[in-house]
Amino acid sequence: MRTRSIVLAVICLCAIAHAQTNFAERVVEHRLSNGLRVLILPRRQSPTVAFYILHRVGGVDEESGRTGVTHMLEHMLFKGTTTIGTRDYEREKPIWDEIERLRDQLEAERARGDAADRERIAQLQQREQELLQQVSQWLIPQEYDRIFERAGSPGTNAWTSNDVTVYTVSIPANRLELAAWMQADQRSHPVWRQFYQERDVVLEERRQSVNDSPEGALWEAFMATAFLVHPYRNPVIGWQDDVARLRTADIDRFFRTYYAPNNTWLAVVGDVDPQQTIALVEKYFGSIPAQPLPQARIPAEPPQRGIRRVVVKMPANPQMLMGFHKPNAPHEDDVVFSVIQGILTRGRTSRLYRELVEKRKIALSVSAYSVPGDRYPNLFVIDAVPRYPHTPQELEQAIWHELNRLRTQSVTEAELKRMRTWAEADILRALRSNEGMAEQLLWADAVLGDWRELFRSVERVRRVTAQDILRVAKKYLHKDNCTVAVLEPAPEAK
Amino acid sequence: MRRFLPIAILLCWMAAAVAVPPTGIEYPPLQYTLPKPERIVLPNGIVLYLLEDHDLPLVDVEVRLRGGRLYEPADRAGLSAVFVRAWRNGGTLTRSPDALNTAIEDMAAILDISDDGDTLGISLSLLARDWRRGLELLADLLRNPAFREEQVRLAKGQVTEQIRRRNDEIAGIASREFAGFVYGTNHPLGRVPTLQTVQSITRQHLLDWHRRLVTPRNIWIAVTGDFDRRAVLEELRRLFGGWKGGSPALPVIPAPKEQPAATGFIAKQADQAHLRIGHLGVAYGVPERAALDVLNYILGGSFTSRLTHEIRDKRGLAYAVWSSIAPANPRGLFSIGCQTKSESAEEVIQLIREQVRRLTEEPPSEEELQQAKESLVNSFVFRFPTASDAVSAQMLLEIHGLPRDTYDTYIARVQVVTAQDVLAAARKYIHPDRLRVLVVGDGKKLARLAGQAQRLQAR
Repeated sequence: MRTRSIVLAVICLCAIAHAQTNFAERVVEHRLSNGLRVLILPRRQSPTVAFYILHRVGGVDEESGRTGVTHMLEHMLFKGTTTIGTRDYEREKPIWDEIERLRDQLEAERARGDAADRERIAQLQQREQELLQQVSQWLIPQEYDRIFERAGSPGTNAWTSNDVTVYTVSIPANRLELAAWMQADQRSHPVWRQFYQERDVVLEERRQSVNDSPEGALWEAFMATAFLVHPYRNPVIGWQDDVARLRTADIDRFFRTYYAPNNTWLAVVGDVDPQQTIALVEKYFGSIPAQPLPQARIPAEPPQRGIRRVVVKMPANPQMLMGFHKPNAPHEDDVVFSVIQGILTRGRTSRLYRELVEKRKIALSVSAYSVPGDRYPNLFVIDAVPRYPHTPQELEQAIWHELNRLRTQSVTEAELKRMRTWAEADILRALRSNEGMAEQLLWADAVLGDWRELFRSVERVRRVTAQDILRVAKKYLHKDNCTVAVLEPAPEAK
Repeated sequence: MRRFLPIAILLCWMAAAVAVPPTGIEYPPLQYTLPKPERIVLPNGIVLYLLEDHDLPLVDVEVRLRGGRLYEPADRAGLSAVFVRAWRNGGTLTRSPDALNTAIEDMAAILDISDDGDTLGISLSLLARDWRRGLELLADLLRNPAFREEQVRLAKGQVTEQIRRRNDEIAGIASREFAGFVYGTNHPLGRVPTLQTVQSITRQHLLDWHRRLVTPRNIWIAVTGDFDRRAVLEELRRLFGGWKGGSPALPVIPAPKEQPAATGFIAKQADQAHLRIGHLGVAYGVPERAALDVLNYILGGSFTSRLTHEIRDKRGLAYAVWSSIAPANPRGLFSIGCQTKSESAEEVIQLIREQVRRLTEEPPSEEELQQAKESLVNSFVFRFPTASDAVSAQMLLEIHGLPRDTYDTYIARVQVVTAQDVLAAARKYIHPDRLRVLVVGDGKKLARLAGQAQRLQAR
């Protein structure tokens, strides 16, 4: 009986390793002559495909005064091309050009603030409305989305982070060629139509996710405090005034610089034939010319010399964040942090959950993660919500107590073993969806430098020792390397 | 992120013009078959749904029961929220909470209990090698929960903290108070727990609640993944076959009352006004479901909808605007949501009213109809991302008393919808003269709107 269960266990371990190897071996990589990198993972689970595109450009690549341009560009790519979204681009174009000249005057007048000539602004706006009315006869509204939705895509989307921009399309497998054509066209002949309406949309997005959101407002203040110099300090959506001043020339320049095929990754995961897929990608993306990429001039964050604190007051209950500077993946200390994160906050057996939530009942919840990206040294963050009448200060003390334990006493073998099992399970669960897999392949290849890193994570976690945790905790999890942000309740403005 | 995805929209993704795919692309036909679980009824009434799926060495188990906050007594609102937490965290008669959690997490398993309104769900995600141990722990928690006093106190404390925090985010106020404004604050779908109702909950209430709900005649179990059907079935029979119990005792939920048109205002310091507009919606299983999906796609259920076009694309007035006609038991909501800067609130409300009226005045154009239908039909392959999602959804059909072939016939039902069907569904279920409008936002900036509205308080 005993022997049998051991044998069984070995078989089962193999099943997991087998599943991983099986997937890893199925990944097909290819590079177009213009530099575009293609990763394909065929799987026949359902007749669907995730067709994801990553451009290695994010908030970190923006110049000061133009924060938010990456995200704005992401929005604009859905406004169509010279063939999509228009009845006759040649008739449409001169009207947009005129709107642009009008905007030169309008934005300059507005920039004068209180001294601005309101009557003149009203006149210019009136004229713009007329032009928009005029141009509308040539537009086919939302055509990009119409085509994709009609083909069965459950909604196309995209997201921008501090590191990268990712466009996400899922489509029934028989429409693969449509997806390839649409996404290539989107990158070959984009038109920045309705830019100023979309800029207003983004400003609404900002109001919603930052101005009126206690969590969003606290986050913005936290990042800007933890990073003094490195652009990880800037919000991806951009600072309000920067966004409000963006012009089509800004996104056009950004697009031409960073959406080059040699700065682009494509992942196709799902019910596809790799060779056919490569042929399609060659056919539609092959003619986009490569171009030299600019040398990144991103200043390193200087070492932190002492605790930093920031307070945000809003009419809401308290929350808190603690952040510690740390190296980014694939630095060997990064994986140690992923183990620390698990030991501190993963599940109901984790240290901070047991101590703060269950035993002392001073927290509603506590979690930890690494942010905001992996291209540059980043932050290990502990995020905690106090339970009335307990305060963020009490939480901070309790967290320091646990961090001190981590710096002075070895974690247990049982804890390490649990983290190794989680790492195995995580990769399997990530493999469940085409979309999740596409995103992870892109991230590992474009940011970490090799998609295989994904399948190495289990091995990396396995190598982490109790000694590593002591060393890393001592090195990074101390007060002089810490930023604390606290949301304090303020009365409602009457 | 370019697109706001409200959780409320479950079904619905819409609207109008000539698409220009490149010429010369031919689409081969798509082969899709909905994963079909095997259904087995144990003699004691437990219904099993089993589906082997060997793509990955994982197993998903879902236990579902009729129950949930819909059925809790008014004077103990919050009972179900406390119940699911204390159940999950309270251990079993023979396993302490710590022993149970350690056993689960040492396997990197995930065990959760959720209150989904009119049902409760226990979900367990396992590595395939652990299925036997996982099922045993699940059965123990299902049949022998301990609701330890310490964990009951923790659960009450946490639900209390959530109540204290529920007005921190303006979006939360809008959704919750709109339900109250439409269903009435005394109806189970409109009322909310208070500090007092949660305080009054005792361990005995939870034990009684468990006894009432958790009986074999009220249990459905789905197992999907990398397992051998015979072995799992044998184990399920061993764990659950000998369990005896009567029928669950669930109160009858009264139908909510139709209310006349009204505008309500809740003051909250903010840059944006949060708008919710709508009225009572539909129950599960109305015959016009496919026409309503088409209608919602055209109105605001997709990124190419009329509302998105008028409010977001053309005018830049909002990042988020959406509509939903999701069913619920006993009645769902017809709702439209939008967030816009305070200065635009009145304009947006007007635009929404026009679009709602238009639905009942004229049928959609042929182009809009085709757009919606093709989208709904072609995207059906994405409806259930994993095999276990497909199994859970089919099991839920049975629990909701819907035809078990609902998803098998869905595409055919959408394909026959005509423009007149959409107009008829709109005239039957959408009432421009009964719209209830809730505005949450800054009292000063929205003074005119607030002045004409009924003043409400966020609870």
